Amino acid sequence: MPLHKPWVEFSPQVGARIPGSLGVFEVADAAGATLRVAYAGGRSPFGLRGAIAAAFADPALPQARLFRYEVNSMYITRWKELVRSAEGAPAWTCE
Amino acid sequence: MDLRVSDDQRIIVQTVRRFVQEQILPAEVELDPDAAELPAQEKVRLVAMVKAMGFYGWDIPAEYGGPGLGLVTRSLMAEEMAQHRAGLYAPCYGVFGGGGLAQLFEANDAQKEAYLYPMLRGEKRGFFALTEPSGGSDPARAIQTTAVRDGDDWVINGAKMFISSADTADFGLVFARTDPAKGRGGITCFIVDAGTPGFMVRRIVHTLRSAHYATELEFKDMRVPHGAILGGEGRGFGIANERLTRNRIPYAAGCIGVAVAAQAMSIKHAKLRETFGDVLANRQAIQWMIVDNAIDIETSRWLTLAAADKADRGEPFRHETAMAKLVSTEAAGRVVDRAIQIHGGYGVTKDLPLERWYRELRIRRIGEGPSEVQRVIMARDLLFE
Ligand SMILES: Cc1cc2nc3c(=O)[nH]c(=O)nc-3n(C[C@H](O)[C@H](O)[C@H](O)COP(=O)(O)OP(=O)(O)OC[C@H]3O[C@@H](n4cnc5c(N)ncnc54)[C@H](O)[C@@H]3O)c2cc1C
Repeated sequence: MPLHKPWVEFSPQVGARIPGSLGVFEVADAAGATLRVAYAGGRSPFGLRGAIAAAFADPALPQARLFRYEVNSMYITRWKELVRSAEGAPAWTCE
Repeated sequence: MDLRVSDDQRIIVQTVRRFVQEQILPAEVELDPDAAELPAQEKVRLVAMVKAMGFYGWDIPAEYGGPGLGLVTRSLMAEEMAQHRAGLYAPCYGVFGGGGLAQLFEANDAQKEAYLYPMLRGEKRGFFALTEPSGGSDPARAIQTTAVRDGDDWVINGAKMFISSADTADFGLVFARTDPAKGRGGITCFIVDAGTPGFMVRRIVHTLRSAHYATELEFKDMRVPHGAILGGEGRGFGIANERLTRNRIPYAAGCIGVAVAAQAMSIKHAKLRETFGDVLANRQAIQWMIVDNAIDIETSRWLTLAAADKADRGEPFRHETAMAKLVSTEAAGRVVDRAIQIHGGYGVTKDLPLERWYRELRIRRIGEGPSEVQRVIMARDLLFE
């Protein structure tokens, strides 16, 4: 199942309100095209808050504007699921 | 029972133990605590090491190019291979290779060429689809998926639940009812290619397990050729049962490995951690936990090796295997629970592997036949055989 949440524009103020929990997130450009599917795992010092802020500070993602996340302690299997749907999984594995 | 570990087995255990300590544990430090895979380059390097040690494909019979090890040796190895954070469901991150779906050893020559050999070479992956939404404990009665003969084909309709990693597999073993009048004798196993028209992975099912997710499958008028039957019409239940029983022995041994690792951590921590002016190791409450852990580990190990020994001798081993699976899975859960208690707050953090073992061990009391089903098997033997 893809992430169905609405995209949110990132700013340091908005970023400060993201929970420090484990979970998965997506980063997109201004048009909502997904640039990165990632997770905040057990080694992320500030969970989703830190991992999303780091993605927006990443020079490899200059077009990053929007994000959405899901708090999820099963972040690895959920991340694999999101990556597969983002990559265009075979038709027989779609909802 | 005459169980003595041979010199060869002792060397194998020491070799695998050193490999886990010197290669797997350092590699794991760099990974996310819930990771189930090594970086590709690291995996290639470690697979090459395992091949050089002669253990690659560790559970593959010699006639198929594996080392042809007996179940006692494999149980001893499985105990060692599980002694790291991902060890329960991704022992040594798969660098020892392995047979995968052992049911395919029953395949005919054409099926072996198409599925078994590519699987053994690591080119194809398969799933095992027995459990259905209607239940997994009693598949002989619960299976509602039907296969109806139509000329040279069979048409399969139904659903499967909790099937591990089916969405990334190339093929799977699908158990379906071919004769409703025959009970367990009316179940047949079909080899089905992923992507066959009518085959659908409906969703991913997330569970307590960090490493691999499960999936829910649906078959709608899925047409497969008669040649897709594995082992003969009506033989599906026997094929599933024999291999499931055999697999429960290394399954139990993996749980023991995790318990051993948790106990080692507990002893180390108890000797270092001070409260109220003394180390935990000097508190009777803690000592008793350590002793109870040791009893749980030893009991599980003896039962598991006894079951493996009977299987290796070609004697009936279903009863012993049920006992080993039941005791080992439940005992390991208790050991890790006590280990968490000894570690206090750190025990439940992702800094340590204990919380992952605690979660994943809980599945072990359900997977491969839940504890109650193991008791049902033993009760039948004790009361009615
Ligand atoms: C993570 C995960 C991965 C899995 N992977 C696979 C897979 O790859 N392929 C596959 O085929 N299956 C797989 N399974 C399914 C697993 O084998 C089943 O969950 C298991 O067999 C139990 O079936 P059930 O969940 O339908 O429970 P049920 O059969 O509905 O049983 C429910 C409970 O009742 C108990 N019970 C049943 N009968 C009795 C009785 N007579 N007396 C007392 N208690 C009883 C059971 O022990 C259980 O605790 C997986 C499950 C999980 C959780």
